[in-house]
Amino acid sequence: MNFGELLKLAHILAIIIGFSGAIGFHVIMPMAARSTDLSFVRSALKFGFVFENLAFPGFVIGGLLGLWLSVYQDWDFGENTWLNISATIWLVAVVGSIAILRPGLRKLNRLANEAPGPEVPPELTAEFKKPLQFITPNLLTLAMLIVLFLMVTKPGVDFAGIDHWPVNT
Amino acid sequence: MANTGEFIKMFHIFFVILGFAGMVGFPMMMRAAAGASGLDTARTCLRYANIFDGLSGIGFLGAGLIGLGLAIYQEWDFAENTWLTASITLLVVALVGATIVQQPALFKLNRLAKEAPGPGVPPELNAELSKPLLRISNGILWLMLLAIFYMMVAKPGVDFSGIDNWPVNT
Repeated sequence: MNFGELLKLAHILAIIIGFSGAIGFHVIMPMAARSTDLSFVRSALKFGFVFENLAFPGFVIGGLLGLWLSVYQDWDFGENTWLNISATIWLVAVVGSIAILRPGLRKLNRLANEAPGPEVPPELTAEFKKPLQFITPNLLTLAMLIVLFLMVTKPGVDFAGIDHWPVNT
Repeated sequence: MANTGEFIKMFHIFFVILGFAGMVGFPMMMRAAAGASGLDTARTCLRYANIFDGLSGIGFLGAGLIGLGLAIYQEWDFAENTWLTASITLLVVALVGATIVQQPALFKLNRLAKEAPGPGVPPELNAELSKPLLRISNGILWLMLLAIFYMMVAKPGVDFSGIDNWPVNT
């Protein structure tokens, strides 16, 4: 196994950690949004943070390792459009996560911690129902799925497919 | 545009991601359930643990079947591609192991949590949650799945499995 393959392995592993966090986040947050029990919402939000803290570093490190890999392999960004588009979408997703997702999550957490309980206060319910809180994580995951598609199929590139795995003879 | 093989590969990877998502979430929820002070919290954590367990089961079973379909579709020779044979064997062992060891333990935990009167966590449930069986079986499953992951990415013993060049259409 050469260094390029090692980089690829680490790149894919980081992305899997990122997607694991994102999927966990999508499992937990809708349940928190529907619950009327404040203690449940608080623990769900705590888990939401844990999953977000897996997703964000996973995708950031995965992207950086991917960039390192492409530089190491001397891939031309101008010619490899799939790489160019992927890097752009990744950058937009990272910025979107920092600018929108994380502040929104912090606000939800603050509202949950400040509420006297045991019921979920109306401000917290209203915050959960805000379109931005719902749309942002879905859009970010969709963006990463598009990147995943581009990474797997590499459109516009010959031999990117999986038609043959010639075996050592 | 992507061909059929690439689409199958895409689904295969998607299911692998689902599987790993379940594998990441499951131990987190079990740890949280073991540390819960109230029965409600323990029940909630176990409910999440069930979801993540289901996710990993569906993910890896789906990934295995789709991967098998891909190998058959691409006419890869199982005898020559040792990485493929070893991966399938490991996956079957992991799935059977999870069904035999992990599932009964999880069923027992759910039953104890359901039958408990509350509001505190009953000692039997606490004792069951602190047993190392689930942690050990989960650790072994992780090792097996990471070994499969390594073989799938590196494809040891196969030429051109690397990433040295992506020739661009001209």
